[in-house]
Amino acid sequence: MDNESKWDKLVNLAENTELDPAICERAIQLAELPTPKPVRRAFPVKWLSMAACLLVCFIGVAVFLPIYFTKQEPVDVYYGYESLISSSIDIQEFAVSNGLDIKYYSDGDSGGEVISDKVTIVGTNKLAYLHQLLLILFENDFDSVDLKIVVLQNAEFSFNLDYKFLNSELVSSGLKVKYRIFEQDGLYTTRAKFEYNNARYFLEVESTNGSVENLDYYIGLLIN
Amino acid sequence: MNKIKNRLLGVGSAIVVCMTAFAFSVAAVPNASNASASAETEKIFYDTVYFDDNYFGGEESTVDADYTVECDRVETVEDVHYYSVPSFGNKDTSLKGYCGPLTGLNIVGFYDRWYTELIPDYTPGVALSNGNYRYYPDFNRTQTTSALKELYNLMKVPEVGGATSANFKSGMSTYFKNAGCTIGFTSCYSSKTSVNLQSVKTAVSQNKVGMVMCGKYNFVKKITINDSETQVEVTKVNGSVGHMMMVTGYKILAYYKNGANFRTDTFLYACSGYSSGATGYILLNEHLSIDEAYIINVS
Repeated sequence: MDNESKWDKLVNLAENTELDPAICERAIQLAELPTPKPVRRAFPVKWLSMAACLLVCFIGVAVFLPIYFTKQEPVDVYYGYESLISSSIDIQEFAVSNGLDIKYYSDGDSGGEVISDKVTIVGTNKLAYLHQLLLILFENDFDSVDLKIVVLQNAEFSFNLDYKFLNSELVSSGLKVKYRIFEQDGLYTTRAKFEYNNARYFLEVESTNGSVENLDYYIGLLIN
Repeated sequence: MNKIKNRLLGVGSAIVVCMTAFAFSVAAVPNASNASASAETEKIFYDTVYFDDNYFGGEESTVDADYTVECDRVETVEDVHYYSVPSFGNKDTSLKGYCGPLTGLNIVGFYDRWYTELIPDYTPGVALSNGNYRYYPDFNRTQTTSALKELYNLMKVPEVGGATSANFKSGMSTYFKNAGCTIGFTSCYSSKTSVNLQSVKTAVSQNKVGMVMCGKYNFVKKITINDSETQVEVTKVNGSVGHMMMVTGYKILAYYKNGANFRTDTFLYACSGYSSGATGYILLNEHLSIDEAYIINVS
């Protein structure tokens, strides 16, 4: 019977086992490897990078977004009436002193009377358009002609609404004109628009004569 | 799992911050403020501070309130208006809060046709061969600009910053009295958002005009009906300060879809009282607070 205790067996094993020198050498090498020390940071990386992202977002939105929207101009800038200011001028003097090659009505044209205004953008004082009113008196009637000469490019104004749906065309004084005649109670309002020398002309004739010839007449009076 | 959670947390935080920053930047846009004129007990009606082509006034502002009605057809139920009315504007930038005097000038200009001393040395229009009377457009004549300034002072606008109801009426009374006639105000008030249309109709038939004094108002610049009459575009602004306008008629539009009338709009013909002198309409029952409404009687 085996009366050896387990301990005795273990001792016996240790005394009688031959050690492999190569294994011993490797064991010693492994024991001598330095233990990697944990890196200690001031703040966790993930929170720092998250905070940095949030800060960049905040700066981007709070600073650049308002700048972007104030500086950026769409192709067509809409100037509402609140952006405009008007003052009376002598249109001939104004055109000459500003080097504007435009067509306009003059006092006495067809025996009529003319008043002229310049309309500028509030704040910048940039010229938006010139505005004229021509009044021609007949014996028991009159014609009134409202003319707007838009020199500012890429700009829309509230009055553009009135010239949105001009569904007829004619050639008048060599110009291609779009127009439409509106009538109420026998009073005609003829609206027309055309271009001349990079300026846009918006004409409104109010008359008891709603013929196209009447429109042609007033365009001719302007251009020729 | 933790990685996903952290990423979601980061994205969520960024969204919250962006929205907060956007809200602040929008809130930083200057808002229009109410006029500085004090009116503790009396409402003051005033208008443009700047002179511009049309509306807007300095501290007071209007906002666009356009709308479009799509329908199968639109019917003009009733249209009561004059062939032509005067509508004056103002180019004098020294005048402030002048909607009261301008409304007064429009009334004066209208009645000057019969009471020629209202605007001396001035002919307001011409009687056409077809029997209609056509008023001249505002040509900024010295006669009318002088009348405006006189009304402006009689209504004590420089002292108050605008025209109160009492000052408007007393100013007009004095003006008409100085011209050798008498002005009377007959109420056509119906509610905060409407007037007695029958009174307006009767007034037009009797060559009279009306006026409204509003705590808040709207002004319709244009009503555009397309060729097939299936779409009505209403170009309108809403104003949230006191304003006065001359009223010269009304129009009722009814809109139909599938044979049923689903909407009806009633517009008063109005002279804007703005610097441009534009004419247009007031839409009843919509962004409107009428304090007083009158038919003007002159004798």
